[in-house]
Amino acid sequence: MADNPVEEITVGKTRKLGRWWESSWSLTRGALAVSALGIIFLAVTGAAVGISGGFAYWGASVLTFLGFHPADWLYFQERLPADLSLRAHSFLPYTVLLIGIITGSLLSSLLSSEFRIRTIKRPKMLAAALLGGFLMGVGARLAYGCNIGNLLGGIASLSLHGWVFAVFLILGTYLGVKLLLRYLM
Amino acid sequence: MPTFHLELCGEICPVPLLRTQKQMERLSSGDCLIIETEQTQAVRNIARWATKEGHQVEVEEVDNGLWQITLWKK
Repeated sequence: MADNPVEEITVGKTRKLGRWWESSWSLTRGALAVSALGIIFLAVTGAAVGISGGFAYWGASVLTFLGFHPADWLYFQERLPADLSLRAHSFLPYTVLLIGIITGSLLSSLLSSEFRIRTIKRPKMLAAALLGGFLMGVGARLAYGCNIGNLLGGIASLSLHGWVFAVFLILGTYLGVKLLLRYLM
Repeated sequence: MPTFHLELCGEICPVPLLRTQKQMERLSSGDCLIIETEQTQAVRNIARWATKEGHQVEVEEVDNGLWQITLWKK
């Protein structure tokens, strides 16, 4: 099944190479690949990988464009000072990373013929997903990073805060699963 | 040999595996359970779990990103 290598059916030259992207990579292989990319990103941009920061900048710049002043907010004054105009270049690495991660995921699902528009069918589940997503967003910005920024970026760059984040991430997930089992099955 | 259906499209992990496990408990030996799911990881989870439990497993990709898993309870 899925953990076995994809059967190589030799139908013409192209198939002989094996559709390596379709076979499920082992956890080790995936972790090594992702870590390598994280290290390259750190080396090239000097920043740890992360995407929630990018969303925060983009959200704020859209608000700025619409006439609001998020630059006056304590959050942006103290922690993430940046030019929040839409054309700012200061958050370019984050933008590239955002686009890269989304495009990469899309490519991966397309190449393995698994792409499909999947909808949530139960209203309760949809409400829970929206609420959960909102809480995750708030949490990510309170922690100055999501799981990518704190685990892949933080722990990988040997920062202690990544480990603190990991502990609470596990606790939160445990709680979440309990709630899921109780209310959403 | 009674056949049961479990329609799990739209369910997010870990719900497919948990619902499958619950449903399998209610089946008698030899019964057949046909599961439909869109979740890639759920297919692997269910197949791996069922194999470990000793049930017979068959997976068919019905469409892009849509799988049908057939389990026969041991």
